[in-house]
Amino acid sequence: MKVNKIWLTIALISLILAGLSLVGFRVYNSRTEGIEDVGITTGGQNSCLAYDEETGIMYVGTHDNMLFAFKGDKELFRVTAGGSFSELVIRREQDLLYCGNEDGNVYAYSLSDGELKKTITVNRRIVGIDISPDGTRVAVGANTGSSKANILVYSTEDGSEIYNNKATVTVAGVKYCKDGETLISINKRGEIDLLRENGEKVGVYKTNYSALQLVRNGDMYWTVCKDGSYYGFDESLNILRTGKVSNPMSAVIASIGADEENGHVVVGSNEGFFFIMNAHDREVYTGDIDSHITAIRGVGRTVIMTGLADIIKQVHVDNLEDINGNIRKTGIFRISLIVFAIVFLCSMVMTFEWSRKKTLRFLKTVWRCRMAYIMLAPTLILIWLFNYRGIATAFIRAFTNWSKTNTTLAQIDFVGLDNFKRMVTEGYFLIGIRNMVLITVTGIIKVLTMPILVAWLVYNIRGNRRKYLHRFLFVLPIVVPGVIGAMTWQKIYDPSIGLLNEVLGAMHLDSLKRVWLGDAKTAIWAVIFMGFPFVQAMAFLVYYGGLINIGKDVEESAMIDGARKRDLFWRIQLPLIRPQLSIMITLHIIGTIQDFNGIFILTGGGPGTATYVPALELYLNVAQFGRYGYACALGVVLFIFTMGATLISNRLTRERG
Amino acid sequence: MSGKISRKKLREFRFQSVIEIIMLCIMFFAFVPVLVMLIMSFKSNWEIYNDFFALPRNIAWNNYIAAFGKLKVSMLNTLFVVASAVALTLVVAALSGYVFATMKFPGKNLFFMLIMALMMIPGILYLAPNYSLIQSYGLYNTRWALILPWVSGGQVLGIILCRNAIEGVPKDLFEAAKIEGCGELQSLFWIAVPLAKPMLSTIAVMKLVDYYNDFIWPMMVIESNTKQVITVAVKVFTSSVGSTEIGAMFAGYVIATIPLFILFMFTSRLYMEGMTAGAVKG
Repeated sequence: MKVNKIWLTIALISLILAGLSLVGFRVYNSRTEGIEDVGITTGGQNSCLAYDEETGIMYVGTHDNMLFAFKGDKELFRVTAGGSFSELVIRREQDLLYCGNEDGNVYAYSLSDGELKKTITVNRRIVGIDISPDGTRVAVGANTGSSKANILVYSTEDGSEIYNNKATVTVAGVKYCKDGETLISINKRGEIDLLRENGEKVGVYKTNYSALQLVRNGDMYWTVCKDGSYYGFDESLNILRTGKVSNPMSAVIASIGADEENGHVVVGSNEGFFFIMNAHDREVYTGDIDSHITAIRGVGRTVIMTGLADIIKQVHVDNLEDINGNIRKTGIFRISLIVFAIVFLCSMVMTFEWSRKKTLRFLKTVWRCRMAYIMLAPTLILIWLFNYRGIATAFIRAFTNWSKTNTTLAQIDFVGLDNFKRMVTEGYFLIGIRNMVLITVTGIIKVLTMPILVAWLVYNIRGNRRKYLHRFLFVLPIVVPGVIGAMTWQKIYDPSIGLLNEVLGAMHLDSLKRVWLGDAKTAIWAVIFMGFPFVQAMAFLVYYGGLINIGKDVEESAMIDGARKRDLFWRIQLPLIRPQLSIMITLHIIGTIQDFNGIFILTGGGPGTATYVPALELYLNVAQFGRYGYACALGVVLFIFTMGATLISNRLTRERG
Repeated sequence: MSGKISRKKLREFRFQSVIEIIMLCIMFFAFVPVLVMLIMSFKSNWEIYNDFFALPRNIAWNNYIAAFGKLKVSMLNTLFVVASAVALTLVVAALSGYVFATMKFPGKNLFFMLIMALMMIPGILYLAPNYSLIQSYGLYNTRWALILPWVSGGQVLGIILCRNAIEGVPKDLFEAAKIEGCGELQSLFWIAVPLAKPMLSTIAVMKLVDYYNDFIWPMMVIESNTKQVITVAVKVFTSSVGSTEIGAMFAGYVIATIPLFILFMFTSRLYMEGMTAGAVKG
């Protein structure tokens, strides 16, 4: 075997480069993770958040007076209080979760099971709480009315009030310093105060706008003001970090948080916009989660945000700093991987003489036929881009958690048969199957009766002009677009001004009147009845063509033998147009399984789920729920159904012949 | 003898009358939705509610004025988009049909199989991937998001029909042209296309009807009203006026039907033959 060394070297080099590209691809691909849904829903308006890194439990308080604890996406417990939760503080040493609640109490729950251990009555609207480092006292920022505020200190042992410091400016948050004696508080006048527990002021830093939220993150405290400026400072009120978000959309600033190393800072707004500032206080990213952001907590190199729209998102702040660059680099590495892989394969082919000769001969043929490929190119490119790429994706991603929020390759994970299991457990699909079978079977009956009858009638008319006229008239209704036809039928079924009920009324059959589409019992039959008298133009024309193809001589010889028209139809014509019947059934099955236009317009799947079909379920999952992976799985199942039904119908129509 | 003939004639006459009556009945029912649409579109709300079955007393043209005002933009847009898509479909179908009919090259069967297979694969299988692919191609909410997928799917039947039509052309014709120095493209446009003209017009009519009827896909990928197609626009129009201006709503339905009606008046034979041919040969 002859080996060409130059080609071999090229092959090896490109193999190495392909390997490097793969590494680069994987590195940058993992950095394309931006905003992830944590997969937790409370069903309420989330107001505050705490995360216990040791146990991995996330605590979420809501404005609907509920407190939830989740581990992963599993709910551990939920408790209800009298008002909305304003701040949560975890005390591992005491195994307690302190919760400030707007009903005027500080509750302390057991971290693991949510058992209520203590209640400290404050009798004021609590906006912020903190626990002293030794766990013996709780500081509470509370407001009564718009100009009366208190910073109070209570004993956690017996709930008794130790200090009550009155203020005239609304407090927005309070935090303990490490010494357990000094407090930091912020207020609506934009002052960051440093005070003793007894209220003695020892320091102040004045910002220009009212301060909105105070969080402690490791050794640093963060606060954000109404104008979008933020301050990161230490216990002596030394401003270590400051900056201002650009806020071109004039969003109403609401919340602040930083990652655990106090590197990236995130400022959230009422509208759901958030701004990420890097360690040098340069704004690096602006995002939108479509929900009033109420709390931002750092977890490792990411932050977790929650908002009123029942949204909890994990934001990879460091990735987002250059997310577009990362995506671009991922793309470049992917392309170079493909290029080098191709170069490697080609040069491997060229390395060995036998394969080189064969390939060159093949390429020569291809080159000679280049015109054919050039002329085919538009077709091939189109079907690749708009058909086969989608088909391949559907089969692969049917087994993944691909969704509106999991879009990048790094976020899409294989989940095995979960999507297929969901079809059974969620139930909509099973309801849909029942309806689909009903519609398909009645549809086959429709396609095998009226069109044949009409084709036979038209075939038997005397005179070519009359024949053509009738054929024309029977096909004419096809000019009504399907969607328009369905909308008209919807009006025919209308309970108050619908033709059907009006006719029944005119015939004095008022007892038969129905809300046809609104009644779960009649809705599916109304859908099936749509299109009466079912003279489907295509089937009619195909059968008619079939009848003409049989030829007059067969017919005449049968007539001479004394056959009647009826016998002629059953014994000769019907068996001879079996191929046409078979084609129409096949086309019909493919059509019905994937069609949901009629149902979409008539009922939208309702009432309830009475007229659901799997195709509609698939559409809703794409267009409304954004569960693409599940939609792909539904598509795969429908594809299998189509294939199966087609094979069976072909087998049946063939065997009878 | 004569009596026998006349009895046979009589029987035939009776048979013809019976089937005519049956056909008229079926036809009547088949046209009920069309009649509902037409009659209602000329009635005012008051007439619809109070005298449902009566023919319109004063023809309510303002129903049509109202509906046309709302629908004209999408109607023009639809005609433009559908026409472009049909033109493109014809070009690619003619090109590929010609290649499959007259040329030999490695991979011919594979490619043809791939194209044929699309007829059996339900489009809904890849609805979700295509929805996201359209976005990644940057075509979302552009007219290309309609045209290109339509052409891609619509060319399949076109290619098959074109191939059949061009295969019917005697091979000698193409060989003679080649000897005269005609390239492939020249012989396609000077020999194949003129001879396959009837088939091309059939494809054009059928695809026009197909594209015009599309509803779900445009609803998913088009957001702007100015780029929306008529079927979706009518649905939106129905949702907005459906309970208050019933006559106008039906007028909208009629307006949406008119283009296909005009087309059908001129090309009914092509359309009817195309449907039959498409099903049998495909």
